[in-house]
Amino acid sequence: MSNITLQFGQCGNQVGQALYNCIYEDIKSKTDSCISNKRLNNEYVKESQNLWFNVKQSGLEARSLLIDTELKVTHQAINKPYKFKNVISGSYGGSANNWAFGYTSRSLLVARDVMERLRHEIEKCDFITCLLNILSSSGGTGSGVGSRIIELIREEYPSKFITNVIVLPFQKGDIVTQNYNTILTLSKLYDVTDNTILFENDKIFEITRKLTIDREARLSDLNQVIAQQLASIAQPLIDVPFSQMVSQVATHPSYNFIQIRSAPHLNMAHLNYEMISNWTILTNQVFKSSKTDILMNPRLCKKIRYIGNVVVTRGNMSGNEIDLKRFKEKSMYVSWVPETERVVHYGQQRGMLNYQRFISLLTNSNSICNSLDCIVEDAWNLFTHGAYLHHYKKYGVDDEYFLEAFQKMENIINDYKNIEKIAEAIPSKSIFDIRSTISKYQCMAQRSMAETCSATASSTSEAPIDMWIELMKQILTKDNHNIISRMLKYIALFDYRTEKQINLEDCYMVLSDLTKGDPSKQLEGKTAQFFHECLTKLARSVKEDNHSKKEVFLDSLEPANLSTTRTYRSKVDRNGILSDTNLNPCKVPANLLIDRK
Amino acid sequence: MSQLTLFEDIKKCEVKARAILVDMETSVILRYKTGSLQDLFDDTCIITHYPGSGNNWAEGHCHYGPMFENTILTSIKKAVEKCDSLHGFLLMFSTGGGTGSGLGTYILKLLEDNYPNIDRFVICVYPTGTEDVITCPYNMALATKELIKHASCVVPVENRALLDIVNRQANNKHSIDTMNFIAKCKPFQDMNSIIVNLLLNLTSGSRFSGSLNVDLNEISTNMVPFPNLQFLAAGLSPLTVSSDLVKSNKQIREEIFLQTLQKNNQLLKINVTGPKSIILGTTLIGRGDFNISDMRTYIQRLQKKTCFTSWSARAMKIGLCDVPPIGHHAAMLSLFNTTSMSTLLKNVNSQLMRLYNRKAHTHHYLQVPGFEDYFFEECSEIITNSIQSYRDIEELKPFGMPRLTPVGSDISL
Repeated sequence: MSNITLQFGQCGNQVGQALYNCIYEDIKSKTDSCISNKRLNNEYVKESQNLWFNVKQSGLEARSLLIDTELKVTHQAINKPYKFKNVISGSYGGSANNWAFGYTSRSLLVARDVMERLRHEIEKCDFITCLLNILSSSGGTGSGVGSRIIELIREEYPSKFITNVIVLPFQKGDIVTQNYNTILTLSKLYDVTDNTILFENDKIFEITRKLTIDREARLSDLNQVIAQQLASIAQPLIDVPFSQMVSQVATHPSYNFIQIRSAPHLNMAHLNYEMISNWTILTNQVFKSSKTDILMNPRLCKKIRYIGNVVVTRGNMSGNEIDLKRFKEKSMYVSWVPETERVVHYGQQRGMLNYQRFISLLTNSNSICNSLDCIVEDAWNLFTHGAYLHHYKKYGVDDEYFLEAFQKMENIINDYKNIEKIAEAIPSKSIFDIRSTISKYQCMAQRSMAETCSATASSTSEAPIDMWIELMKQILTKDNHNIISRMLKYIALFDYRTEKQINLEDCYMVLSDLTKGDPSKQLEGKTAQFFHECLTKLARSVKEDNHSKKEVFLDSLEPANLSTTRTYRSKVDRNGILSDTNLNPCKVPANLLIDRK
Repeated sequence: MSQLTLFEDIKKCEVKARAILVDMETSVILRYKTGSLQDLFDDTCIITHYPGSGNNWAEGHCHYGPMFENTILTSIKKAVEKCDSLHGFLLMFSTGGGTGSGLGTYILKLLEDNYPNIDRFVICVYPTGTEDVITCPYNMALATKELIKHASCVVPVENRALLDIVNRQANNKHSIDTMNFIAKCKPFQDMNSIIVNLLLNLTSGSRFSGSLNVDLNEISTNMVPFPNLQFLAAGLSPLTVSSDLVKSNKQIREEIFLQTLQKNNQLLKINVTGPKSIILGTTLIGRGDFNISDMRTYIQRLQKKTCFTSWSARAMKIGLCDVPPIGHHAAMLSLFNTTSMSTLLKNVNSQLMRLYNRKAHTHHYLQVPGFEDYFFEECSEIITNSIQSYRDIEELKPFGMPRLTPVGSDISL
């Protein structure tokens, strides 16, 4: 069994190298304290070597690809007791902290080389358990190039198990565009890969600060903690491959974010003077640390809800020494997780590094909500002010691209927030029942749609906006249909927000009149303001497209006309409008204008 | 004027500068041909002419610009072809004279047309308050207009600020060593060396390794939130030639950090941390002994101390470079994108209007073919627009747009 790691960008490469250092040290560690049984140790070492390295006569070669767009970090990989053979980097000058630049442009430079080397590396292995991508979501290379390459790998190897290790940035960060980059990366990779292990810099920093009391924490210390936590779950266990263990905690396709908690973290220099703690103390430490986040932001989630936990212990354990009673409490788990799957324990008699006992917890719970919410909040704040967007637009990532990413993130957060409610949505029937019901409803929906929108194209979606877009596409000439549908998209975004003061129906009405070039209706207060906002936004984006015809068209939509002129039609009854071809030139079907509450 | 500070290749100490020197007179560039740096530059990268632009922007921009367009482009192309990956262009000129401001900004435009995706960094000197040329206000304003339109990042430096720094150093009676050293120095060389230090610190991330690397192109991504607000204020610390300290401890590092924020260490006469300045973007590049914990405490202090917009408070760029400048153990460079930059622009605009209202000296410009009368008004308008955008940001009240509400899975817009 083998794991192949792909390290992207500055952070990814630093963490990756720290991980390999950690594993190498673990293999070589010979202190009596952690090795009780010689035969066991030999087996472990052999397995671990095979898992991470290509064992050759000349020495060990890491099963790893180092990918970067500049040379400085990958250069540090040279003087090691083992070899990094696949360094794919050039002095391309970085990715400018810009996800779009990395994704669309920089990734082209390395893509072919990476795929070729990866194939070579895969061919060297007997059996691959997992492809491990290590990257940070804040920079440009890791996030942008990483996202693109991982997508390519997924296309090439559709059935391989791919896990990401993503380092989330500090909340008060070191890169201005980090939150943009993070949401773009996470939303891109969430569906592409099997699951994602998230490390939060803030939390790792807390651990590191306790380790380095005598001096100030450096970035390398942070990397080491991450490496230790990763190694503690990825080093060989008896009879259970890494991939199986990870998928045990991510049982539902909507919940793919995994966190790691572990204990103890001690300063290596002080190890001899530390009290040796027993399993109970360590278990309690881990248990507490897995629950702390929830208290930080009660607005999001009030109580911890786990989807799954895996406890890994490394070190001598006789009989049933470990007590997982605290983890087994039913109220902490989502109701749909079966009792046997809630918490699983794997033990390895050999210790790790110089620790006699080391316990780590793989957990999937709603505690991730808090940090994700902060990231989206900050990014949304930047986005609504329009800041830094021009850098992304230069490489083809426009407002709509961002909006999709935001929507995806909101959905993910919402899923975690309402973790309990998902249970209600899961029917207690067999898969065949569900399938037949779905197809039945689909048929019904399609039929009713075809009836009501006989004038327009039939659409399977029930959202009125989709029908509007379809309608507008049909009515308008090829040159400008884009505009109205885009306008509708902006309105649709508000549609999904439950703002009561805005009368979207009126907006649609005005729009339909506008296509005729004759604004008829006066909009009220907030609705008008919102409508203007949409128009100006649209105008701005159209201006950037630099399409003269569109501009002319937009000029005819001068917003001034909308608020000042006639109000006479506002009280005409709706059916009147619908039937009058003058007032309803687009033949808007009634169901689109009827109150949807 | 010179392009990227890095050098071509090192073959047995044979180094050539990746630089193009342009001047419309010969005297300054001749020094390179004889001085200690003579091997660095060859003739292909030197473009000279006689008799100079006569302190006239129009002469440089509208006359010499088209005239030398091909020559300049070929030398740029030659230099670019030798690069593995082009990172950015670094332009240096003064905005007061004729060649620098006129031809310099013309080349800036050429670069934008020919290499649209490569960043263009401009380090330019503003002679505000110490003008030695009568047409300086015109040149300054016209150059500023071009900078606003075509540069991706501008780091303006004011002569008064540099002079103050040099004077302060001359009066520095810290120790006999420094006094002796100062006695030997020439003031102009020192002013230039301050700008050189700025450049060295700015490019440190591209030249040396560090745990948080900052490349040049990252700076423009992080510091320019809106396309037209690309003027950055720079602060340096330490400004002394060498420090007599053996090793830097926490207090000294903190001192260095605080100094970079001070008015006295800014290369512009503006108060970055003052009550009226609202900061849009910050970059702190620490060199030498700085580490991540230091930087995190500094961020917190900075956030308490200064005003930000609602979205820029958390946005900060941090760089760590392992190698300190020669003679020091630690150094820091701070870059700010702040609304108080409008004072510089206002100054430029008011000086322009003072002359232009009386139509003084305009005939020198108008007689150059290609220069139109409306250039002055257009230029004033663009600068006022820029000032207005700064003011808009100052007066912007925080507004919260509600976030997107989650929808059922897989709704694509």
